[in-house]
Amino acid sequence: MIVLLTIKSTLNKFDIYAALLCAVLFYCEAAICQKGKVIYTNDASISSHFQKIKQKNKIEYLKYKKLAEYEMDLMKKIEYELIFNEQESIFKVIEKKNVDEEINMIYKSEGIFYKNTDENICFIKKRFSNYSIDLMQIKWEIQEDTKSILGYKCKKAIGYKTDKKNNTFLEDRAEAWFCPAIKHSYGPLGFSNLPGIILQLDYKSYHLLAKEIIFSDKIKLSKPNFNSKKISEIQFSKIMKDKFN
Amino acid sequence: MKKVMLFLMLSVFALGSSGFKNLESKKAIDPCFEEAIEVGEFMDGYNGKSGAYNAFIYMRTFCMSDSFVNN
Repeated sequence: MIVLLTIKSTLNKFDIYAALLCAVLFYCEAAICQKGKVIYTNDASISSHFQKIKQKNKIEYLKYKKLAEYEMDLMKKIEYELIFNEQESIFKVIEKKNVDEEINMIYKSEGIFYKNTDENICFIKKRFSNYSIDLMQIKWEIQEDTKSILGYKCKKAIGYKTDKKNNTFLEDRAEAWFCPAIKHSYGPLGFSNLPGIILQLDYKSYHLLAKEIIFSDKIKLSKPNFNSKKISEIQFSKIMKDKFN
Repeated sequence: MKKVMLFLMLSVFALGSSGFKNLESKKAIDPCFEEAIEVGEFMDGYNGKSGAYNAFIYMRTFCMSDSFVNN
């Protein structure tokens, strides 16, 4: 109380109004501006394939350890961006110039995730073929936990991939922190349909965290023009496995 | 004689259970990643690139990534 009275006496009315105006503008920016970009870093862990080997047989894992850690170190260097407007979003790697061949390889093989009101697709090149993968829906459970990311209050949600037959893939658990103040249902890696934009996502070896949010009317995006075969995520998973069985 | 028979039984048991363990761990491994390791070992040093590099390139081209469901 004494502290408040002291503050009140030292600041004049003009300072208080200016501070209030700044606070209002900060929150209005998120509410009014419908176009923007979120930049994510990835604190990658070893990929789930190697993680499974490690859990089942630590001695067998030693054979894969070097490759697992090599991949993990490279993935930590990659940044991603989620560009959005009122109707659609694109999530992809941020490509930098003059990078090593391995980083370039990641740029080419990560895919581009596109979402609008009707579609949620990943355009990807794998085994020298182009695919448009119709991504699975996510079944979300919103939790009570909250935390602040970049000054935005975020809520936690746990999600599982679910196919059209309503089979839930419990191994594929995602933890997302979304911001209700930014009223867009977009997020990284095709995870979406939460009542706010996803600023943090933990899914398998991906640990994506927003490091910057930019609101701008100058943001332009359009659906990628990709000559590819259209398949479901399950079919894609089968294709990737079947060719080696 | 009894000791010999016991020793034989234990050895068969030990060999048999080690075989099961290998089978179990092999099931956990997607064959694509095994191939990646083999390619890496084969190409180690080729063009001045390490085995890990070659294995990584193979893996990114041919194997399933973590972005998608693993059916």
